[in-house]
Amino acid sequence: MKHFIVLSVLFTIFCYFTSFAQYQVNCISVNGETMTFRVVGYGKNAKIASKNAELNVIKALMFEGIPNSQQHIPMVPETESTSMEKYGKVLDKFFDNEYQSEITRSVIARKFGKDANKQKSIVLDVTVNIRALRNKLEKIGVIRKFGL
Amino acid sequence: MKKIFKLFLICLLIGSCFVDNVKAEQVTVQPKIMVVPFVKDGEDIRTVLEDDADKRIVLTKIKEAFDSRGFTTIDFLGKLKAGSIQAGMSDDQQSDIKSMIIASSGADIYVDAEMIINRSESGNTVKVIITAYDISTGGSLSNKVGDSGKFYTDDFGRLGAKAIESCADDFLNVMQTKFNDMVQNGKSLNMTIGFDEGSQYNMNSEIGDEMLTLADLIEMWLEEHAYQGNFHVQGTTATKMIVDDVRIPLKDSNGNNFTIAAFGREFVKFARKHGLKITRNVVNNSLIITIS
Repeated sequence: MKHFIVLSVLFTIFCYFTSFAQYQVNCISVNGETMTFRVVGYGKNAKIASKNAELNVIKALMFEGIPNSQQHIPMVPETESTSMEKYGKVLDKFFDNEYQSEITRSVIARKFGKDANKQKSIVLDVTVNIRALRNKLEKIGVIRKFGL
Repeated sequence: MKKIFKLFLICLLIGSCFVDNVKAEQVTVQPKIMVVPFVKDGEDIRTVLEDDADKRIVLTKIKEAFDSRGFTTIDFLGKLKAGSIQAGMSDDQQSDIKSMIIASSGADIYVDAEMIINRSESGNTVKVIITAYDISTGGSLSNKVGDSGKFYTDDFGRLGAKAIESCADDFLNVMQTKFNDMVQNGKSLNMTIGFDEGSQYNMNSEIGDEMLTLADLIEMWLEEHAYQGNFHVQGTTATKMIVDDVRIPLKDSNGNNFTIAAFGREFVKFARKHGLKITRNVVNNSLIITIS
């Protein structure tokens, strides 16, 4: 029983520190208001991994910015943890399914399977309508409109 | 009856969703932005724009970038024409025309745009340098260099547009970061406090019960009234105090815009309390106080 409690605590700590991990997202092309990113998504099956991959792109754009692209500044000024505290309900709803309307294309770049680290993952090329994403975040109040 | 009740409940539910959405939108104050072309010494700003369609394309593209974020800019060419007609200016006043238009346009921010054309045998490129300035303080808000990349074309307007597209979003994102900083730390204004020629006071005059100098009293007032006590005195002499950066909140306690005039009013109250008679003027984002 004691071991179980210790393990549970350790697992919770591990989950906490890994929950805001860095996203594996790279910008591969820009076409006007849309940007295409190559992203890795992990999960126990292809469906979950694909959803995680798409969410990784959205979250990277929102909270971290994508290096070597016009979106290297994160759209949301607060950190992910602060934003989740502040706009938890709205963001949960957005990450649940609303984000999908901002993704214009999602193509498999590497099929679902185990990667070099023996983790089940998928690689997608995800195209995001940046303007639509920004407008959406403005509308739900997570970011301010351009201006003061 | 049951049906009506159900219908009422549905309407209430839809209504509450709508109210939630409206609440979620945050009100933003839109500063006025004007895009102006960069001109070299001796160049006439009107001729530069009227003769060079490529430069006009670049300016329009920058304006488009602002429009895409729901922003309306002040048209520089329109202001230029109006300014020229009003003042009947001559060609050798180009630099003054630019400053005059910036000052009189009512813009809070101006974006200086320079376009550099490079011709080579391996293709032509256009580079654009764009810098946004806060008119009141002269501080730079954002600056970027855009590059079109090399192409075998003489369509420099198109290359200019490509160069702008390569950096416009980044440029606006940096500006928004500065705006967010203003929301958090207050907006900046200049304050100049001087004296009438016949005034019996100067900055070293000791007034009040504690016999503090006027300069000290003003600084103490600023400590209290500047947003989060944030201000910077550029310099104080016997006859003048220049405060090059005073932060004031964007909104007052009622959620209305906190204007420079409102900040000036607070200063009037302070002056009256100490038996001082003052006049105040607001020019752009500068508050000019004259003590009689």
